[in-house]
Amino acid sequence: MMPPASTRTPRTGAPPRGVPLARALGWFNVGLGVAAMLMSRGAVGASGAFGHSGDVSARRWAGVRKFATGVGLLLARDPTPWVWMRIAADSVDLAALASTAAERPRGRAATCAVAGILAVELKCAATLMAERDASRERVLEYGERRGLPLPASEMRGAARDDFIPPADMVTPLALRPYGLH
Amino acid sequence: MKALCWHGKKDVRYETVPDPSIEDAGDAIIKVSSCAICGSDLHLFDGFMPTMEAGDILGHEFMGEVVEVGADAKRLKVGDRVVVPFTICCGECEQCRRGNFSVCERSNRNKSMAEKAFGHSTAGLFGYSHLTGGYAGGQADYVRVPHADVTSVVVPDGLTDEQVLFLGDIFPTGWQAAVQCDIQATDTVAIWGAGPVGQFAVRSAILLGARQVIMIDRVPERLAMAEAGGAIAINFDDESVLDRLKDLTNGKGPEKCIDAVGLEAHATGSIDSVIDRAKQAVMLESDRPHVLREMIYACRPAGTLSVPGVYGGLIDKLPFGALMNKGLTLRTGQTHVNRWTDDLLRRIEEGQIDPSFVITHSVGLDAGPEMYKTFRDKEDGCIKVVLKP
Repeated sequence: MMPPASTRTPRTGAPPRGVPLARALGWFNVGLGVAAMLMSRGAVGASGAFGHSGDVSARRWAGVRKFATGVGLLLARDPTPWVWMRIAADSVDLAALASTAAERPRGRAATCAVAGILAVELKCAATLMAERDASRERVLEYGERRGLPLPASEMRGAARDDFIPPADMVTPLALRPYGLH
Repeated sequence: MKALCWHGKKDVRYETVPDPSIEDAGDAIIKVSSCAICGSDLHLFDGFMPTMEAGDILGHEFMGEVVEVGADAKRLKVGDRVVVPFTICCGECEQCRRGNFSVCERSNRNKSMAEKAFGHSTAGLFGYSHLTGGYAGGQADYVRVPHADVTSVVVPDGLTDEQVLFLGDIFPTGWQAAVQCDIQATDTVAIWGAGPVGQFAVRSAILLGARQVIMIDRVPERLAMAEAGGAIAINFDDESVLDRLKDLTNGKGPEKCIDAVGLEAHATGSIDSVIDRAKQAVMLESDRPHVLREMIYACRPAGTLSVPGVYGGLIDKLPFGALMNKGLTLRTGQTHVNRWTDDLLRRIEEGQIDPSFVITHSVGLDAGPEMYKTFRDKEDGCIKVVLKP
């Protein structure tokens, strides 16, 4: 017989943080993507906030990319791959921005902003990975919580010898399939 | 005393309330040693059950020690260790005499309200809205138990709280779900919902001799626990439930189906679920019956549907034509807990089953408000929460 649950390690109920953070990043990227598509011209676009390219259509394309990954972050049951996609894209953006920061108005601020976002994304990815590991551990642990003293194959029908189902909850004999009479 | 009180949708508070007292001669006061959050408490938490009032004390799974009894309580005595079933029953009315304790004709003190909603009154329940009597629940330091002699189940000291606590609800509920399937040795039993009731339904179906038990859910650790109990797992996020059920039954479907989900089905990937959510949001239906629809469709003709999952009001687009033409038997109801407790207590004592397997979180009562959210969102592998006042 397994020990009662009180003798096993109780969980404390710490809520997971990775998915809510990924959803927040999703909304952020959707907003940023829409803004990039609508405001890629002028000084704001030139700052590098919506991509490092000097080309307006390229910045719009960057907005589409942010919007799409944002939607992915919001809708995916497991947002981990989408977070890594954002990390890859923002790493490229950060490298490009850093190399040309001095040439742009507010270029340094844009570089710092992207670096900050990248840090949040890395934290999110690490949290999600840790939670995935914890979930795998739980699957293994719960997979041993049988509740029965022997494997199910040996417990099958153990109650049939001494349990008579009440008449109001079983099919009347006359209505049972012929083979079960 | 301290208690968990409902203050509105998603608003449960740990607060100080007046101590209960003997109101009727048949009452007893119980000092709660352990209580639990039930899946059906989440319907209150999410605001799906009408007639809740701010300040209502929650909880219908609890046990403890008798500290006071009324003048008419003859069987119980101070110091007894008891588990209290969630259904309050008088033991004397026609329904109680038939063993239909969950539809006791006397224990619901808001009978007229229940008659308006359901046509007839059902039993009073602890901590489960004013439609079921408005009785204070057991997620508290103390609780008043009406009709205490009949309702309470005395338990021996040799078993831990964790082993006997669930005699008050989820163990008998899973057991009755399986019993009313009238399981034969040739049967496949499919169970929707790997929450606590579903877990007990798996083990009950195995003990009652089902040839094959199948669990349908989407949460990996819950499916793992069901597999540990002897079920074959179907993750509805990864595969078609209907196709897999056919594969496992030579194309014929399961003979017996159990709905251990109830009114808040979360099958987000199906069109009917999306429509249900939209209708629920604009109050065109109160409950989301995706599981009922799928069971009716999947069940083998002449099979049986057992519904321990809680429904509260109105559902839409139920394929009753399929149910009728396939000749399915539908068995439902809140659990007649006291009908099963003696037998199930004996099985625990004999070691045939240890209900503590289902506990994943054990915390103080003060952590209750946070645990409601953790349990509702299935966070941190939460399957069953035990609270210690």
